[in-house]
Amino acid sequence: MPSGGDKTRTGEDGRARARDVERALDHEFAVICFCWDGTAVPHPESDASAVRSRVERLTALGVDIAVISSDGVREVDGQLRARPGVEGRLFLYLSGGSETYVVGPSGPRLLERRQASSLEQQRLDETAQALRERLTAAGIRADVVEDRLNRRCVDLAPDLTGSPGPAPSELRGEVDRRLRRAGFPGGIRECVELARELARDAGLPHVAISGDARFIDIGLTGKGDAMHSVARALVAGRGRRSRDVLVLGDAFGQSSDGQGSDAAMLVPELRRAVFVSVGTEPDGVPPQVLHVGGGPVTFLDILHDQLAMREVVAERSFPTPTDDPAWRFEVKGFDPFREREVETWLTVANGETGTRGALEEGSAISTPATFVAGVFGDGTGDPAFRQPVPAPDWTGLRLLVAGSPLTLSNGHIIDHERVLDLRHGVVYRTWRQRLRSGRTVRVRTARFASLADRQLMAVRAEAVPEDFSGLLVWQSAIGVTHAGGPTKETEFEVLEDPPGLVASTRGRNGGGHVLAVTTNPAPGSPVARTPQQARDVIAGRLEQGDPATIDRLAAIVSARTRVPSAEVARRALERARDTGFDELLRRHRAAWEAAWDAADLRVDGDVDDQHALRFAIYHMISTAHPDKDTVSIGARGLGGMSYFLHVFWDTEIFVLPFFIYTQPETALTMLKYRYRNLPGARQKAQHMGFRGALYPWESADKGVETTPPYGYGPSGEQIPILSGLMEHHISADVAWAVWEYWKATGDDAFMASMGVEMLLETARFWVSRAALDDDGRYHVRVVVGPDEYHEGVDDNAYTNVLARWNIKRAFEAVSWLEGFDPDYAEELKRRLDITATELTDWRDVVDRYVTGFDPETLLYEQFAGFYGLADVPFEKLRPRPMAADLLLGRDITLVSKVVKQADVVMLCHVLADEIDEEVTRANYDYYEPITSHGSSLSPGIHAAVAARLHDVDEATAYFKMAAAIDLGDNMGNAAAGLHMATMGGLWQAAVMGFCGIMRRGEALRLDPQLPEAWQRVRLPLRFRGSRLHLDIRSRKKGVDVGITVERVPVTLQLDGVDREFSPGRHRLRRRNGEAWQVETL
Amino acid sequence: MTLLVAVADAAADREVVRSARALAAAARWEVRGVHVREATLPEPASADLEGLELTAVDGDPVEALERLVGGTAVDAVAFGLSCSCQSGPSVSGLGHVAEALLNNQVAPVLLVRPGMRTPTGLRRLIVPLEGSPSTSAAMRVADEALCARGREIVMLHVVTGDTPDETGSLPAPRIMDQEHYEWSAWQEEFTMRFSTCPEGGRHRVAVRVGDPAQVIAGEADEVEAELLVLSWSGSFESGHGAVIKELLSTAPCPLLLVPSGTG
Repeated sequence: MPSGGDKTRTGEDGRARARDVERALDHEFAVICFCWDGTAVPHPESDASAVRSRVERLTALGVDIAVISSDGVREVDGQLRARPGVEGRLFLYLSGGSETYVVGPSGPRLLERRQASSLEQQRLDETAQALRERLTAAGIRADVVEDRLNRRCVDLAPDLTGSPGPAPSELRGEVDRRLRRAGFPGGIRECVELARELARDAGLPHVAISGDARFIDIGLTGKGDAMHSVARALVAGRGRRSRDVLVLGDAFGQSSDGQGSDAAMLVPELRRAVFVSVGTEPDGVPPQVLHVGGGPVTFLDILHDQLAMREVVAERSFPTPTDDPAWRFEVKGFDPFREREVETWLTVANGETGTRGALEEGSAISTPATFVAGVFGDGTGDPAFRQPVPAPDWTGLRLLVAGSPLTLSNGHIIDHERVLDLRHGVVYRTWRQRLRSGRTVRVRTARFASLADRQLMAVRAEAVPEDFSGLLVWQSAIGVTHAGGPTKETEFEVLEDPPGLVASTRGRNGGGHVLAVTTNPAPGSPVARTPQQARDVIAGRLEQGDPATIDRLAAIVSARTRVPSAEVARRALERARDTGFDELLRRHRAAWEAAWDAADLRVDGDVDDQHALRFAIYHMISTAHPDKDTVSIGARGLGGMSYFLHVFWDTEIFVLPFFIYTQPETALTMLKYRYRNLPGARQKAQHMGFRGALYPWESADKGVETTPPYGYGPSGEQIPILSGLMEHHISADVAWAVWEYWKATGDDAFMASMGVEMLLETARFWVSRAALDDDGRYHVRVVVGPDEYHEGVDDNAYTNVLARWNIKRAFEAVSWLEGFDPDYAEELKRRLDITATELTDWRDVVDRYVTGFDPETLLYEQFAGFYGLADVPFEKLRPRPMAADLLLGRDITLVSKVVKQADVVMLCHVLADEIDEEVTRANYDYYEPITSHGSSLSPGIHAAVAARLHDVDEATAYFKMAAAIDLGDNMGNAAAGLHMATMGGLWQAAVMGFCGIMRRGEALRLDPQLPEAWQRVRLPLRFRGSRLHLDIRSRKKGVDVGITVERVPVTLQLDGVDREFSPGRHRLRRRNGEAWQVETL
Repeated sequence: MTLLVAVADAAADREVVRSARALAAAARWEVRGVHVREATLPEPASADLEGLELTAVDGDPVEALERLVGGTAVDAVAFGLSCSCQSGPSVSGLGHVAEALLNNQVAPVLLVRPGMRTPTGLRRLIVPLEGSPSTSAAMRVADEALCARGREIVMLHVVTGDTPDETGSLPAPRIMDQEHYEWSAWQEEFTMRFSTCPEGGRHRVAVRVGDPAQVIAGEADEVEAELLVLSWSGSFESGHGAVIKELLSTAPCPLLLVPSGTG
C-alpha cells in the first residue's frame, strides 16, 4: 500500500503513519464511500473499467458502495457504467448531494432529488452574479455556470479550458496568481469567503461553498448532505457501525485554496469511520484523515485489497445449487441406459450456444457436444440440406489420481448426483468414487453457459482426496465434437494470453466457430498449471482433505459464412478471464433471476407439474436469443443434433406465445427472424408457381426450404418426405404469430415496419394457392395439414380456415396502416405491387374459400372426404400416445379416421378468439377419441382446449401426458433433443387452459379452471404495455384471483364483458360459477 | 469360456454338436461333451459326433447337468430338443430335461431342434430386443462373444403396442413428429443403449410390427440368420416364455437363450 507523507513528518513518523494506514485498512468494510473525480478516476474522460469491475465484484460480495460527486448521473454513470447483479448495493449521491440514485442490473434509478424553490434559484443566481461582478470589477474574467442542479459555479479561468487541461497544481497556481494581482491576496480561499458573505447577503445562510483550482461552487447541498444520507440509509438504516465505513477522497486538507471540498464529508455521525485521502494534500490533512496519496491508482489498490479479503473466503466456498426442491432438477446415480437423455435434460444454453450435460471425464456412452444457433453448413453435400456446424467440445476434463484416471467405471460409485439449478441455470455435480486402488475421491463441478455474456461458458471443478495424500492431475482437453454434422475441418493452436487453447471448426459452404479455452487453478488451490500441447495440465501433491480446484473458462465466437479470427475469440476469453469465474457466475445467476422474475409460473399443490413447467420454461428461455434475429428456436432446442436446429411451425404456434406474454422483446426478435427470411419464403412460393410468401416447412440460416425430399424409415428403408412440398399451413402460422404478437403487445412500430408486409405476402400466397372450382368455391388442394397421417388431401380445415383468416387480417392490417402511416402504406403497396384491383380479387376469394364447416353439426370436416374414411375402433388407439401409422400400418391410417395430432382441435385453439365454445366443444368431442397423439405437439393443446371446455380431469391427464414426453421413464425421446413445442404447449395448457387467460381482441379473458391438485398459481404476464401479476387460488366452491396491474391499465374480459383495471391491486372472486365480484384494493 | 454339449442320443443330437462347434468357434469358446445317460437310451458312438469326446454322466440327467453347469468349469450349455429328451412331465412341452435346465438356468443355453438350419460361420445372427434394460442381456452376450468383423448382428425390435414400464426402456417411438429425423435418432439411441459392441462389429436395427414369435421366425428365415440370441426370464409359468416356446418349434435356426441376469 503506498503511503503519502505529511509536510512535517519525519522518516520515523512516516513509517508509523504507514503502519497506521495498513492497520486501518486491514478490515472488511461494509460500506465504501468515495468521491468520483480525482479520487476514483483522474479526469472525466478516463477509462473507468477497472473501477467498474471492482465495484461490481464488491457489491456481489455484499458491500455497499456510495459514489459521491458534484456531477450529474449522465457524467458519473456514463463513465462508471457499473451494473451490479442486484439493486440495492450501489448508490450514486450526485449533484453535490441533491440527487440519490440506486443502480441495479438495468442501470440507475432515481431515489431522491432535492428541488430548489424559485426563490432559492433566484438567490443562487444573485450570489453567483454578485461574485462574478466583484471579480470582473477587479479585472478577473469569470463566468457563471448555471446548468447544475441546485448549484451555481463561478469559473475563475474560463480561458484555461481544454481536455484534460493543465494539471490541477499548475491551474491552481495560475488562478492564484491572477487573483493576487487583482487584489485578492488570499487567492481562492478569499474568493470562497467572499462567496459565503454574498450568499448570506442574498438570504442563503446555510449554503455549501467550496473552491478548487478553478471553480467556486455555491450549492444548496454539498458532500456533507450526501454523507448524512449515507449515514442514515446505509449505516444506521442497515444496522451497521460507523467503524465499518471507509470514506475515500482526494482533497480533505486545508490549503491556500481554502478548506478542501472533501472535508465536508467528515460528518459527526461517521466520526468512527476510516477516512483516507489519496490526493496530494500539499497542506496536510485533518487529524482524523489518513493520507496515503497516489491518486486513483492507490484508490484501485484499496478496492482490490478489499476484494481480495472477501474473495479468499468466497472462493473457499464452492458454489452450490439452491436448496429449494421446486427449483432443483435432480438426477441421482448413474443409469447408462438413460445417460443421453440426462445429457439433454442438463443442457446449459443461452440462446447462442447449448452444451449437453455430458460427464466431464467422458465415457463410452457419453455424447458431449456444443451447438451454436444459426450456424449451418451443407450436410451431405446437398446445399438444400443444411445442418448445424457443431462447435469444438470444451467440456472435457480428466482427473488422474496417482496416475489412474477417475471414471465411473474405475472402482465403484459411492455417490453420484447431478442437479440442474433451474433458477440460476447452473448444473452441479457431486460425485464420490472408491477407485480400484482403494483411494476415495470426492469431485464437485459447477457448469454454466452465461446468460449475461452469451459468448462465454465456464466450469469450476474440485477434487478432494478423502483418505489419502498424493498427486492429483487435472487434464483439460478440447477436441472434435461428438455431434457429427457438416464439420469440414478442425484446427487447434496454443494460446499464449490468456494461456490456453484455441480450436476452430468450419462447415462446408457455411459458417464456423472458434473456441478459446483457458484453465487455471482456482485462487487458493494448491495446484499449478503446466501448459502442454493440446491440453492444459494442472497438478499438485495434495494433503488428505485439501481440494484441487480449477476454473475452466471458454469463449465461442461464430460466424455464419466463415470462421471468425482467433483473435476475436481470444479477446472474448480475455474478458472472461478478467471477470473471473465467481463474477461470471454472479452475473449469470442475476440474469437468470431477472428472466424468472418475468416468466416464472408458480404452482402450489403438485410438485411434478411444478417441475415440468419450470423445466419447460428453463429450456425455452435458455434456447431463445433475445436480440439476434438471425436465429430462432429449433424444434429440438440447443441440446441435441436431431432436427438439425431447424425451425418449424412449432416455434410460432407453440413456443412464441410464451415469449409474447412474458418476454415480448424476445418474441419480437423471433418474428424478425421470419421477416428477415421473407425473401426465402417468396422464393419458395415462386418456385412452386405461386405468388406471395410461402415459408419453408424447415428453415435454417437462409430462410429457404431445407426439408429433405426423402428420409429413412425404421429399418433403413428410404421414404419420401412430403412436408416440404405440401405442408403449407406454416405460412398462415407465421401470419397468426404476427397478429397475436401485435394484438398482445400493441407494438405498432413492428406492425407498421414488418408485420403488415408479412401479412400481405402470406395472404397473397393463399389467394394464389386456392383454385376456383366448378362449384364456385375456392379450394386448396393437395396439402398436408397438422395431421400428417393423411398426405396430399384437399381442403384441410386447419389450413383453409387459417388461410382465409390470414387474408382477412391482411385487409385489416393494410387498412390500419393507411391510417397509422399513410405514406408508408402507399410506399409498401407500391413496393409489393399491390393494387386496389388485387385487393378486390382477394375479397372475392375470401368469401368463397372452402372451410369444411357444417352449421348443422358445428363440425369442421378435417379435409374433404374425411367423413367417408373407415372407422377404427377406439380401443385400437390405446394406449395413447401411440404411433398409429407404425402400429396399424400406414396403408390403414391413410384411409381411416385416425388423426395423428390436434388438427381441427388445434384450429379451435389458435382461433379461440373467433371459434366459440359451442363449436369447439362439438369438434373436440368428435376428434378427441380418434386422435392417437402420435405427435409431441398434440397432448399440450388437448389439455389447453379440454380445460377451456371445463373438462379439467381430462385436461390434467393430457397435461401429464405432455410432461412425460421429455421426462417419462420409458419414452427415450429426449436423447437427441428436447421437444420445444411440447414445452410451449405445457405453458399454454397451464396459462391459457387452467388459468383461463386468453386474448380476446385487445382484452384478456379470465376463466380459471385449476386441476384439483393445484391450490394456487402465481404468474407474471405482459399485455399491451402493462405488467400483470396474477395470484389464482382455488377455493372450495370457486376461485379467487389477485391481480396487480403495473404501468398502464389493462382490459380484462370477465363473463364476456370487457372491464378496465387501473394500475394497482385488485381482487376478483367467483363462487359457484356465478358472475365475478371485483374489488379494487 | 467352455461350452458343454449335452448329448443324449448320438444320432439325434448330431446337429446339436455341429451347432455348438460353430458357436464355440465364433465365440472362441472351448467345447466339451457329456453324455447324459438315461437307462433307456443307447450308448452314443463317438464317431457319430465328429470326434467330440463324451464324458458319461450317470443318474438323473437334470441333476447331473445342473451340477455341471452350477460348477465353475462350464459357462454355457448346448442341448438338443430331439424326441428322445422329451420323456417325463413338462409344462412347456419341451421335455422335462430341457424345461428343468431352462427353469434353473444360470448360464446361456443353446437349444437345437432337429431340422433347424445348422450354423456354419455365423455370418448373421438376430437378437430380438423388446427395448427394456432387463431384457438386453442377450445383446450383451452377443456383443461380447460374437461381435466381429464380417458378422452382422441384427437388433430386431418387434412392435406389439405394449410398452415396457421399466425405467430406461426404449421401445419404438410412441410419438413420431417428423419421421425422417425420429427414426434415425431412435436407431442411434437404440444401438447406443443396448449395444456395447467393440469396434469392428456390424449392427443393423430392424423394426417389425406384429406377433413377436411369428415376426422373429419370419425374419430369421428371410435373412437366413444362423442363430437367434434371446434373453430369457427363467420361467414358463403363468404364460411366461410364450415367445420362446413358440420359437423352439418354429424358428429356422438354433436359439441361444441368455438368462436375464447375466451378460
